[in-house]
Amino acid sequence: MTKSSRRFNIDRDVAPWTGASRPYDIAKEVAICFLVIGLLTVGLSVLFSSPDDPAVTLKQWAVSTPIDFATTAATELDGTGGTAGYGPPYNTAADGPKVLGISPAKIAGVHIPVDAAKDFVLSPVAALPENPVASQAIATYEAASVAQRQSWAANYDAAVTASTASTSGGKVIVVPGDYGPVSTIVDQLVAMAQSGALDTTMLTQQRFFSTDFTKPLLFISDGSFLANKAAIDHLQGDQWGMMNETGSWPGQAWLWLYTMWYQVPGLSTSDNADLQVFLIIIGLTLLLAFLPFIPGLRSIPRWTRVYKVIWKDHYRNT
Amino acid sequence: MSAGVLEAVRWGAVVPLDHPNHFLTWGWLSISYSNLIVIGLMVVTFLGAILIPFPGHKKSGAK
Amino acid sequence: MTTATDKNWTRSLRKAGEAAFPPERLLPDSQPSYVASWIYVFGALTMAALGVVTATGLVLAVMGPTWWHHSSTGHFINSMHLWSVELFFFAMVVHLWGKFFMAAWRGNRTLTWITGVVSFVVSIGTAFTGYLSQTNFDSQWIATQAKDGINSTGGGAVFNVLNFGQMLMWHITLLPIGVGAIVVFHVLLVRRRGVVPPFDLSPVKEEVAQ
Repeated sequence: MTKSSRRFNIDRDVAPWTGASRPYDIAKEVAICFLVIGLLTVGLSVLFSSPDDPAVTLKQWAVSTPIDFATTAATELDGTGGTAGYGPPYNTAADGPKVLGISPAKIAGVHIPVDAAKDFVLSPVAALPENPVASQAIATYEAASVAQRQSWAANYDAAVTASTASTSGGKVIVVPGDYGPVSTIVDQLVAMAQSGALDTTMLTQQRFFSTDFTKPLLFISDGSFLANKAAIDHLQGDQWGMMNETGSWPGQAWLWLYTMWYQVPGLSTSDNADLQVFLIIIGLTLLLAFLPFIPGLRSIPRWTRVYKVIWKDHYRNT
Repeated sequence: MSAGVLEAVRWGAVVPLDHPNHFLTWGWLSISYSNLIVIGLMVVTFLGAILIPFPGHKKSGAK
Repeated sequence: MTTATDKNWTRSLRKAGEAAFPPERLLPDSQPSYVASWIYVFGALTMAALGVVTATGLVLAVMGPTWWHHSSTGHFINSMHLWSVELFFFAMVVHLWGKFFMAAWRGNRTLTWITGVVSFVVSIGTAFTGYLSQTNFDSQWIATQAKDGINSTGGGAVFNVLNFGQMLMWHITLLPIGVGAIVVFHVLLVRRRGVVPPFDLSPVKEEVAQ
């Protein structure tokens, strides 16, 4: 035992308690606590209920903002879309956030392969039954060279994001240009999404049962529809969104420190913020966990003297 | 309580919170009133817990 | 103490258990006289809230993850689940503040402090996966945002927040088991080591400490 050989440190050691004791009833305390929490829970539930904003669908997205939908589809084809350019764990298009030149995401590698153009656009359109226009467009696209496909998609991307793009009866109208089959493919995808068919096709494209929403969620988050809805409730990352909730309910207030770092100037504009903030939080958590070993930090309770208020009766009586 | 009232209570209609929140914004700080109330209550509860005298402990064995 | 003649594992285990946790320590009916503040109630309140969280979670599990969208009873149970979680974190944070200002790690109680911090962290993970399991807009939005944070660490390769089935499993089995185990360990440590005594303000000790 090294305990007796160590010098007594007031922030680490205590002398054994030899003073008086008082009666205590742990069972009663726990029972009363359950009663109090139970009543508070029921009371708060009756008063305030709980939020339940329905999930948004690809159909809602394509119906309410067809241009945003078509733009997103075009960016998946020309490689400028969020998922198309994401990097690991979905693809190798980028390295992921780095700190000190190290990218943990790249080291971990691609484990959930997503081919944005194929999975979000080409495969669903190719799967449209008895639709010669769609199959012809896909065939033309696939027969073309990579450079040609890229050129068509980039041309369409530019046209659909231009102010001249409009909609008519849910259809996206762009000025005529050299889009090859891309405008047809996107039109078909828009119509498919507006009918609701894309929601099911995307979820079940691998198998009958599915509990994995990776692809539809990635696709919908590449557009602006989801983010615009979130912004109304201050849910975005740069709005302290991590601790907020839809409506006027309180959110995960315990995430205040995590979400705060994303607002700090420097980090708020950093491409590597996700990794940097994570490392800061890991560091702070370790600091909290190992506080009893850290000279200075572990003396704060003694210096602040809050303990004198907590144990006021003890100090008064001794 | 009629079935209709019970139904309404279960869905929760006493104090509707299904409307946009209000936010306190100060420089880069932004916090919803609901979260502010929760955190404020935590601080008040903590202060109350250490300041309010605990009953039945004047003498050992006095309870 | 195990003697040379006592080679029975079961008997040794029982004796060790009895030595570490005699019944009067496990379920005490007296406390040192300095344990006299409302702040001491917040550990038990946290546990009670965890109990209500677990109970309401079990009811939600009976009917499945989408029941609460179309049943008023389900919605009410969901409200109870949410508010007991809010109360759980509320009580836990007040408890944490109290233990910090008491420097409750003193006197060989470091592991009690560390398990407390770990249970806080694991609880945050459990709440997070709960938000992902709601099958509503919250789940969609939180999943698509959180993926970037988790992917940046390389963790996204195995922990896919966009995979609802995986997140539901973490939320209702793996993480609750983790929280439960750590909380039990934490409480046993509290019962074993007892409640930390006040700082000894006698001048002799202060001098030694400098």
